[in-house]
Amino acid sequence: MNEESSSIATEENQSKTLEMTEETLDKFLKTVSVDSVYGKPVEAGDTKIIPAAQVMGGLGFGSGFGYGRHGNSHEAGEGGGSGGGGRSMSRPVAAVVASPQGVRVEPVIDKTRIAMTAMIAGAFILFTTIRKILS
Amino acid sequence: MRMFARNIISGDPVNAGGKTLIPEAKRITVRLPRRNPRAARGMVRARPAAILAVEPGLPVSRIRINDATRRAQVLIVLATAGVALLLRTPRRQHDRLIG
Repeated sequence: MNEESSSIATEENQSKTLEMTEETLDKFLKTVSVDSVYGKPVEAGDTKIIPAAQVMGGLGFGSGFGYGRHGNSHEAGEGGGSGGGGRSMSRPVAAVVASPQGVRVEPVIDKTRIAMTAMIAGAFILFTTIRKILS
Repeated sequence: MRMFARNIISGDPVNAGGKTLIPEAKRITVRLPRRNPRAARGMVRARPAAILAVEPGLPVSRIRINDATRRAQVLIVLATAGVALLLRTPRRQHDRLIG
């Protein structure tokens, strides 16, 4: 009876924990809004510049609990664990420039990223060529 | 909460240069299915989509915001895939393709 009640209490605790984790995940997913994509406008004379960025985020967590006996022993053992992790990243995409002459979008070009992609692509083609020559 | 949601969200208008600018963004939210009832995971991605410029007496203009870096990366990957495909095709088919 004591074991049953303790296992019921453990299950209740776990369901409460799960509800809290679900709420935390929902809150995290809702934090990415337009305010995080577009920054505060910067004024320079008659011109206003609005920075724009791409924002990404991910979150995951879990928990587990075990309960069991050792052979014919009446003593029960129990154990549990939980873990979680998350990541968020943002990258500038463009700057919107608004002036009395008009509105234009100035793109932000990440040369490092493009160069890395080109290097990886070049390495892949080199690998494919070498493989074709050797075969 | 839904498993997959894609929506366009707009922000507070900004007055600039005699115009009212309304920023728009695209947001994708993914809630991964729970194989384990004691686990939860999800991810969200948002990027700028367009700017709506409203000027009195003129039609509303929608200015798209393109990601130049991503476009360049995609072009490089497509070119690489094309070259790799050409390298892997047998000689006869290769001559047929080239002409």
